[in-house]
Amino acid sequence: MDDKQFEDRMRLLKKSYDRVPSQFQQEEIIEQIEIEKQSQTVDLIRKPRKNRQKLTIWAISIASIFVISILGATFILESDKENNQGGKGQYTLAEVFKDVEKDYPITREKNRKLLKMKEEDFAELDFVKVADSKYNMYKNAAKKDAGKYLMSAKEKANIYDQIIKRIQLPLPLIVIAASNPKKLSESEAKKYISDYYFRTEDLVNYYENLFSDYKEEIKALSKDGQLNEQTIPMNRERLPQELQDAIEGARSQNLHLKVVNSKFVFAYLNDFAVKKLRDKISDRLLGYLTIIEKAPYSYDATLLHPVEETGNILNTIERTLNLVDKEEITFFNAIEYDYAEMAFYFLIGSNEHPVFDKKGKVNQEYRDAWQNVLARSPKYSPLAVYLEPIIRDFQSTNWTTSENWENVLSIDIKKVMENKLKEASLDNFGDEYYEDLTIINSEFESQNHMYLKNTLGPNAKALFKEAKATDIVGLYYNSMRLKHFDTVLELYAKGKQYDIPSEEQIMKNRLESFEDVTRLSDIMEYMIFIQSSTEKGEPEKGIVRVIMKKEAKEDSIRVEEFQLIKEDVGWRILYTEAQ
Amino acid sequence: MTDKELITQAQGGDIEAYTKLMQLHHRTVERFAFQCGVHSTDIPDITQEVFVKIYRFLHQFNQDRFTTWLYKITLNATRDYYRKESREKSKEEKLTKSSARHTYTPSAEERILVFEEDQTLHQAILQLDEKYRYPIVLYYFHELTYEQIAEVLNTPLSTVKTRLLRAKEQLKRVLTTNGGAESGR
Repeated sequence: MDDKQFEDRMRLLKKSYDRVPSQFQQEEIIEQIEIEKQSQTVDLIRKPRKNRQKLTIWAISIASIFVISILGATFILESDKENNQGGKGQYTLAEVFKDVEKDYPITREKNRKLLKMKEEDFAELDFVKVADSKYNMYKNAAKKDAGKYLMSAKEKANIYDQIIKRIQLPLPLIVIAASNPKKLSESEAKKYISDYYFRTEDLVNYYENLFSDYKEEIKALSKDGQLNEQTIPMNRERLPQELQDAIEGARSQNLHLKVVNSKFVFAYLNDFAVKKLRDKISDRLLGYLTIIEKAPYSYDATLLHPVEETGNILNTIERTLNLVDKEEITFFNAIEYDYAEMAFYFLIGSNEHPVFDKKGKVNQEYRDAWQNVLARSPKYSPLAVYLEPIIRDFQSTNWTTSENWENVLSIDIKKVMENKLKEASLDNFGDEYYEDLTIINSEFESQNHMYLKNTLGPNAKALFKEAKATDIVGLYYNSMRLKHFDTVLELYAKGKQYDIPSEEQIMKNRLESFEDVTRLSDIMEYMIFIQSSTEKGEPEKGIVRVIMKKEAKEDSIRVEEFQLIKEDVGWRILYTEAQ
Repeated sequence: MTDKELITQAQGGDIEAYTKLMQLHHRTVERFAFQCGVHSTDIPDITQEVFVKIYRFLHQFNQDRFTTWLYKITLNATRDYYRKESREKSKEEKLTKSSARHTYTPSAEERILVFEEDQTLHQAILQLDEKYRYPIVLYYFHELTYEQIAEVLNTPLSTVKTRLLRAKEQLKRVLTTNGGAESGR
């Protein structure tokens, strides 16, 4: 299909989209707006809204908070305030920032030079942009700080590490992770893996664009005007300086240039990260690094690895991907897509590796690869769904025909994969496992408002007993926000074996930042409730994860976790000391 | 009256101005949501969510191009929708796991995209990873420039270009596999 045909198809589809019927319900929208306006007025009368930026709920000691984001300047001030009160702090923010201000520009410049990139290009890389913005944020906060808040030496070191780590290139990032004396926690490991992937992806994007821009100049270097594997090495010194620099810079980050079907592709040179982190992260998570470092897998209908190795990569993906990682492994969806595409060409073959030989029989390399993959496939293998009938068909026809093979569609593979991941996830948690997602929207808020209003009413007990675990967590936030400490206390588990916080402890854990919140939907995206499997005779238990809204300048998601238990009076929160 | 004028009036509490603004833009939201994969029956919910959200944050609006903001908010609303949708689907699948009965009735989607080749292409677009899907939809069906797409998606210009290129390649491959370019009307 050429470009013109493609453009024509898109133009026709665009026309067809005009048939999407309009179901615009103007009155309902206006009505909803009026309701919101009224409820906002009530909230505003109760508590004047302050600067929302202060809203960080870091020190809630009842919640184990695992945070996948870097500390914001606000946090410095907030957490520092507590330190100050406790008398631990000794450094002002200006003092904390002094070392960062000295070292950040040096590290940044060293990295830019290592990549041999112009400043304007380097500054445009996504991860550099984020690192620079965090650095500037701290810089401004340090300037404004009048020494009011003090920080401990440990916090000072943490902040230094966090800011400098942001500007690290992919490879040094792995070296930092490997230098950790202990095994990394799951969350830490996932954060390193995601950062490694995205920083490398940033570079690959930049390099591939750059080489595409110079495509004609490079073509002119080869005698037949065609690009191939040899064009670049043979003409290295005749390349424009910018491209020579890019090749060298890419190599410093374990990337090298390949030409596939006359297109430029950057691939990993070796499995650097896998080797470095072998002892630092779990075998399953190590699988993500193996997958990353095999990229790219296919390009323009061509498998970039031999058939057998492609089978191994597919097998690794099947053994690695787990829905529990979806929130933290931020490129999870990209792997799903890559898997479907790779599996498609693994099954139907590609131009360079056709399935059939000249006699019309399936090539031996495919027979071996398919049978190997099937033999090693995990319980929930999407590929096995295809391979079993295909191999059966082929075996019965002396490897010449298979109806199932004829019917393979790439679109279906993605669906099969999604279903298998869900099945595997349900199986992992057994029959008792139950998961539910609640979007924090006006519906949730009005329901929670109803609970809040009735906390002291005659129906409170019955209402609380029926409340879902997510309602209890929502109620916790709302009660803290409005300083209804009696209600907060009521929300904790009261069993003998559990600690119950005193009012002072609750007060201590309440940040002033709660005052800025008028609506939960301003700070939260959604909650996930995961019910753990229950032993016979034991009370039901579960976890509520609150996925906070991403601030515009943040590049990661903040998640807060509550453990809950179902007592006679309904779901209650387990109190734990601050993490 | 321009978008800017309507917004200024709406910011001052003029609900009629805001109604006019909605009337001018609701089709964009509806079409965009559908193109991003929202079921036609859920489009009214998304449209409501978008316009309520816009009103909620109208006082913060100081950008020049209203539609860029509109696309951003619609995009977030459709993402929420996906999350909810996939969870509900998973629950539904659990419940109907044992049931083997299937009946067929033409979907609302099939009534909108009456030509098979449109359905194929629409499905292929929905199967793209969202990082490829959104640039394609905004570029081809809403005629946004690379710069505008970069702004809506909060992505560098170079990334938008690469993603459009890759998305195009992926779609072309699917179209070739599913009957080639000649399968027109």
